[in-house]
Amino acid sequence: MKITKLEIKQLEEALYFRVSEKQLDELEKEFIEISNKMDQLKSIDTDNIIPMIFPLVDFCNVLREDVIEVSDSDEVLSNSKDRFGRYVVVE
Amino acid sequence: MEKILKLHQEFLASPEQVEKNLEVCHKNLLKIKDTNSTLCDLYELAKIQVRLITKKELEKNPLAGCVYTLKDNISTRDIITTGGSRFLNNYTPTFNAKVYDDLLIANAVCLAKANLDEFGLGGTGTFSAYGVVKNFYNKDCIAGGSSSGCANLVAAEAVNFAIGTDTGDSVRKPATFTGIVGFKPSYGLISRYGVFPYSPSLDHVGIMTKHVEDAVVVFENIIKTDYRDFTTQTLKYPISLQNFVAFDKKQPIALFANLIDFLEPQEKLSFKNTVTFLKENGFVINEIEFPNDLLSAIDLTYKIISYSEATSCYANITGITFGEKQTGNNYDELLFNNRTFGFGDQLKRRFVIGAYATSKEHSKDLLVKSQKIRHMIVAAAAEVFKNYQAIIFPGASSVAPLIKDVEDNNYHTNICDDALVIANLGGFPSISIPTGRVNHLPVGINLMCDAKQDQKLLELAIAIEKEVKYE
Repeated sequence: MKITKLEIKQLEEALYFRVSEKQLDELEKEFIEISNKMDQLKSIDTDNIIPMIFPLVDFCNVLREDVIEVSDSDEVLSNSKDRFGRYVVVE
Repeated sequence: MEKILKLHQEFLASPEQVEKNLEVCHKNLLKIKDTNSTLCDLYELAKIQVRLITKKELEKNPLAGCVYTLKDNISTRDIITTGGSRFLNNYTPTFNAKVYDDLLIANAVCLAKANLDEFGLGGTGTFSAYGVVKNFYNKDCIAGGSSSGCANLVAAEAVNFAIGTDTGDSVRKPATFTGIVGFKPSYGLISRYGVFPYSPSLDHVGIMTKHVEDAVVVFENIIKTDYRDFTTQTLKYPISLQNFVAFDKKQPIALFANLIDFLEPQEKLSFKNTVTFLKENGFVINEIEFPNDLLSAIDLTYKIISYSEATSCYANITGITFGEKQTGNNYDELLFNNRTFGFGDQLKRRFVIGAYATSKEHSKDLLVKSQKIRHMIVAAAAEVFKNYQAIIFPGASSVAPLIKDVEDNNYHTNICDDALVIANLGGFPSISIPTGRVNHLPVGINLMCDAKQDQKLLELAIAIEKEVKYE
């Protein structure tokens, strides 16, 4: 696993932000560290192990009726910097 | 009887003590202003609230009139909630987090919103958009993170308790660095509705207090199943201090011997002395080995899982519907400018790694592999709980490091610190309690029990706290 600055820049594009040149250098180094550590982890035999995506084994979801709760739209929209009436202005 | 119950007695005997307690707390808060612990001072609002608390309400709940702080990633209606991020500089939630609602019902008094690493992503308190949080005991040192401000405010007695969040060790580590109690219950016992996420499969709400019994009293009031957070879990027994029994010291406690050599020399001596002292006082502590390959895997496993989940969680922050908005010639440019300006460097770094780990090409080797190793770590810990009631850890590998060392990248954690993350990986309850000082800075121990054995954990912590008698 090796990552180039170009690949990091592609990830930035996908994430919709830019990082500084200094950060780019640091990220490149960090990816090398991750890669080295990941190589060590490869030695751990995970065949037939189920990926754990939730911490509890006896987990059960708390379900509820789908009841409509009315919000004050003016209040909800108040956090938008740019509004036109009851609409949010994108650009 | 610890702080909160003592205050409760004082309030009942003389209700004017409620205002006095608030006044004292606020004076203490102002005294540590230079530690950068507070993002929003709610004293004026708190003064109004305490005047409205009736004697009947004081009788009803021991938390009534008690002063607390919320980490600023917990939503408070009509009160700015920044998450420690420049992105949400003026964001005012239109609803309350469940935990805040529960504390309002209990008539507890929120005095401040506390500083944190941006959105809880950081373990040092140096990654807030609103400045580095300095340790209450030594301002050249960090307070730990990400619940940094909460820890300082409890340590300085500027509040009677604090509500923080813990994804890796974010309640427990700063608690150790500031000499207080940090308790992270089993996964899902406190609702996360209205709490900004970091990594939903690891996120917990936690409690910070001066003493363990205080944490129990707060816990009683905020442990609730919540229909708005479908991951909340229910205990088969109610948590109530009245139902607690003395911990049976004959129940064995495990100590991972392979962690000890990763402690700094003086911290190692302090930890060993604490363990010896506890053994001399009747506790049965057995040294065992936890698989080294799994201990070494915790750090990367945690990073890959938490960064991946965080990358997904923060895709919704665009600066358009809420948050700070810049300018741009088109939609893409606007989003780029908003997210480039709004997110701090630490977040961007973690999001890039998370995006890489979740990409089609790498998810199998990175994310899925990490999720499998997570399963193995949790299974190994569960094996330990078959023979032991609890596991004892050092609170941290060292005392709080210097801010300069953290900023210059000269502070490195090791597997001794990583071990606290096991509790998040498996949703196990975990508590850090102070035991002493090294070089005038606090040190402590950490205790962990099997999932949903929260009462047992707290009973053990109370028993140890009584023996150690740390002040």
